[in-house]
Amino acid sequence: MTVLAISMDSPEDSRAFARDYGIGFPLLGDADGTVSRTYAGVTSDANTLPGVTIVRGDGRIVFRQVASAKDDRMSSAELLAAVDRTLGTAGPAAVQDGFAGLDRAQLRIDVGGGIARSGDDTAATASGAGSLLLPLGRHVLVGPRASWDTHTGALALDGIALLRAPILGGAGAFELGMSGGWTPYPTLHTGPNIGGLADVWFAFSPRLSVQIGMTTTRYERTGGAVTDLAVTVGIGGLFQIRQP
Amino acid sequence: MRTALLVLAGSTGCIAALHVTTTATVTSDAIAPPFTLAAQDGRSVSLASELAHGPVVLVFYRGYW
Repeated sequence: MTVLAISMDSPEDSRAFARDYGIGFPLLGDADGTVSRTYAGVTSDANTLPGVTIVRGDGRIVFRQVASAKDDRMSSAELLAAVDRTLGTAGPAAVQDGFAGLDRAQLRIDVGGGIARSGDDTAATASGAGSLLLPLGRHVLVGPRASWDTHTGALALDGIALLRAPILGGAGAFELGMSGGWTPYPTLHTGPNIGGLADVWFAFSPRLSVQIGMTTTRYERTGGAVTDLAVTVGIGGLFQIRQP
Repeated sequence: MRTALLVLAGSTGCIAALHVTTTATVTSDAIAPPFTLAAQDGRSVSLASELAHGPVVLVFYRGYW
């Protein structure tokens, strides 16, 4: 949890305040009052209307308090209780509400369309895939994937590993990955496969995400390899697999 | 941290006889509007970059006086 204190003070005044009271968190200067007006309000002497806003890690506002009179303010105990209640910093909710999407396992269903290339022959193909992805920290997802494409009729069973760069405060990510595995069906295609994928993923709730990307897979087979290249779009169900 | 929060919470109390001229546009359960402001050390701080590290508590106060 980070505390950002916002006032219309000059940097000099804020430095004095931080020094005199031993404040370790940022005191931000909102000289023109833009942020104050958006979040709290402005009083008749053109100063910030005091208040507290608690923002969850996914960017959602989960608590607001705005002063309306001299004595209308939160005690430190009330403020800390509000933090605990809304963010669960003392309990399991801290992880659930922090980087809900990034911390959760994902069951993804993707469909795509593209081309399948074998030697000099190119044909259109459509594909579908299901993946179970487990997070290894914020930057790695790994898990099994089953995919199928209409052109070859090949069912591929792969392991995939994704490196991801979180964006939008952890609500989304750019992802780059590799896949590799075996194609058990049809017999003509039985053999190893290897591929790569890139996508943009976005969790618009703690339980649901969407992703759009590109995937390419090379299937070894009797009589020469087939390489698929497809644009894919899909949805993901997010679920918690471990207690913090 | 708790002491500093207490100081800030206390400083919000001194608005007797003032009235509100502009009310906030955000509401609870909305996505927090992005902003970037300069900290007392001159460092530029954006809400988005802080959210990348976890939840953020915004405390609006009337300055040091």
